[in-house]
Amino acid sequence: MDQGVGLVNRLVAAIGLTLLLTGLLAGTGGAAQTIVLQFPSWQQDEPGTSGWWKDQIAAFERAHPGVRIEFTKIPLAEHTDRLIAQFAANSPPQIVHVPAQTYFPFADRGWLEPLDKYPGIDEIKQTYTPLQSKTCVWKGATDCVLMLNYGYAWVYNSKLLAATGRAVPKTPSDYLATIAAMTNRSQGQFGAGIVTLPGFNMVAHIAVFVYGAGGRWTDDKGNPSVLTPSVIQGFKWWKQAALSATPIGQESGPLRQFLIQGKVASYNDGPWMQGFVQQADPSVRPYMKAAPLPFQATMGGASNVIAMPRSLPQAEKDLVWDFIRSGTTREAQIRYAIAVGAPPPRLDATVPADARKALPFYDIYVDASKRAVSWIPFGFETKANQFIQIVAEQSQRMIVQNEPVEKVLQDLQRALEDLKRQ
Amino acid sequence: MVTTQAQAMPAGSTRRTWGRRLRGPEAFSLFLLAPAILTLVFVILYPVLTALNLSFRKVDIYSPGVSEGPFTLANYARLFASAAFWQAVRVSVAYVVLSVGFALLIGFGTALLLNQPFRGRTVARMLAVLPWAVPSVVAANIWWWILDPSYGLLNFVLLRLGLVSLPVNWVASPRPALAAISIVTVWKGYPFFTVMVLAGLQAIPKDLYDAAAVDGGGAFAAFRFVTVPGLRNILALATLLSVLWVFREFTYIWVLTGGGPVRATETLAVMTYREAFTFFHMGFAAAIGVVTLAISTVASILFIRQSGQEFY
Repeated sequence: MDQGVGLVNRLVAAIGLTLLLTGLLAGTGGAAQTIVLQFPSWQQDEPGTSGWWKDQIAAFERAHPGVRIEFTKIPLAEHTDRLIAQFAANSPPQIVHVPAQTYFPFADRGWLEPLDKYPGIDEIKQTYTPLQSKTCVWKGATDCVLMLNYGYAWVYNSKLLAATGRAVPKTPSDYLATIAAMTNRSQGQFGAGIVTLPGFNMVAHIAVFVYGAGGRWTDDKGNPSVLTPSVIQGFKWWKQAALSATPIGQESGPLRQFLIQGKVASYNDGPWMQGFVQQADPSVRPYMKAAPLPFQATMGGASNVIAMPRSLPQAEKDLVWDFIRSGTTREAQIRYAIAVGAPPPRLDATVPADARKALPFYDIYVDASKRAVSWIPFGFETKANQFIQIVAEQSQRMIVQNEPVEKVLQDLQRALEDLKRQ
Repeated sequence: MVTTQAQAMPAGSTRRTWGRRLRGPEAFSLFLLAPAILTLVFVILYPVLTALNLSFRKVDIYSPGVSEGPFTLANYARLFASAAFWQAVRVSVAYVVLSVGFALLIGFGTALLLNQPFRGRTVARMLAVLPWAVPSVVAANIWWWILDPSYGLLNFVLLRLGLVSLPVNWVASPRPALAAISIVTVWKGYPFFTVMVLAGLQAIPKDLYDAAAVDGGGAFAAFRFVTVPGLRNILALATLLSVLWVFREFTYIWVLTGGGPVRATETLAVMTYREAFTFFHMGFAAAIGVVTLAISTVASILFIRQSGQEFY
């Protein structure tokens, strides 16, 4: 009996000691706790930009011991949806990186921290392109910092182009004939990579043609205007290009991959393409070139922005601001321009001549960004996500069911008017 | 007049029966089961009631907890007037019929084969059920590459064999897209029927086949009058479970087609997701979910009633 009591006493003592040690260890862990800032982005593995972000994160973590930035990948096609769900659930990431086209719903709902009171914001306002204030000032407050302004260019495989005996196209009809000539479906060879899976990238690719034809999604009052001759013309070009020269049903990721493997002969895209081209198959890379798009206007404008949630504790807001600000210095902006291969939003950040020589597409993209027209749907800024879904879904009918452009655009006009009324 | 025992007993005695039971070993069992029952109520009943509540509100997801709005039937009115909803119902039915029908046939056939004695039967049984073990997302991605219209394996084979002259747009044309998601679902789902039917076949007494042979019945007669009736309950259960699984299937469809092209593969499950997490119409999405639940419940009741008859 005494032995049993002794055993119980020892057992109780052992449990007590274990609990005490656990508590002490937990206390020690608490003292050295790391602050983690979540940073989801579609650029996490994007050649060029990804490296710049990782350098920025490493430098920030060195300067802020005990703070870690968790840089995770979310595909662009689902990025905005996920962010909205996270904000709605009151658990947004600390660092909010979002395409400029879909940033407005976040600003409009008061989810983003106004940045006007933070140190260094005046320097950004003074040194950045006017697109900074055009994009990031919403209802009188600066809610974000512009990461990139851009224009699209035509990135093409000069060997495949030469095989057709054609020159770089200078007109829309020439362009359509060229990409068709570079296509041989039975051999798995396509003249152009055009995104046809509904989502953000599909609408961006449609905008190349619609804006290229001089069309706009909306009129001066922000009402839908997709029945104008220019918009109809743009959609006709897009439909012809998609049906004659592209692998249907692909997203931007596989299409860029096909381009650098030589299976797709050309791709309309922004300056980040330079990073992808660096990863091209050695047999393809020497032939990768860029040229201005042969349309009267080039699609582009504000590309993406960075911000932070209003709901964060002030200590975390200060940390996130330090991180954002570190990317706006002249030195960081020059590195950004070299990494992305495009002019940075900070106007006094000039890329050195020797670095410029190493970026073969740089001048093309500088020119494109100067001529670029933003495809942000004026009047639908706060419903950009729904706008994109509706345009993509309706447009798909033109290529999947081969429905006439005019008929589909009438339905699209009605659907957008419904959205406007909601 | 027939009087049941419950009717014959006074109300007080019913209460006493319950009271006596609760004081007995059953009460202790109930006490032990209570945490599990409460957990189940919380994880099943609470979400169902929440969805039901949401389906009668106009929910503003952008201001969580602030404006659920007053009680309204607007979501249901909009739902039943929506062409997209009826399209999703048609797609769901077609998808369930195609997927479960072919999975049942293939699973049944495979089980009959695997029930025969032959060399390497153990390995064959293992291989037959292998697709079941592949995680859904992995299976969907593998099939995405097989069915890719431009560079997929299936088109490559069809072109080489001369069965088609141009690549088939498996996931980018409406009818092939529905066929594509059904093929993947059948591939993933038939092993379930194989396992169930195989177990059922081994439970049928051999005497019945001997009796059928003595009566002069051939293989077909034995199959028709012994095998099929003997598997009736198992087939009904397996079909019911498969119908419910396929009816709420999301992964294969989302990964392969996203519900497209042009909503050709948008089932009720995919429509619910899109309305909830693309358009953020939470009340409307909840209404679709409630209707889906109602359809599943009715289907379950019908199946259970049908499968209640004993063979032996």
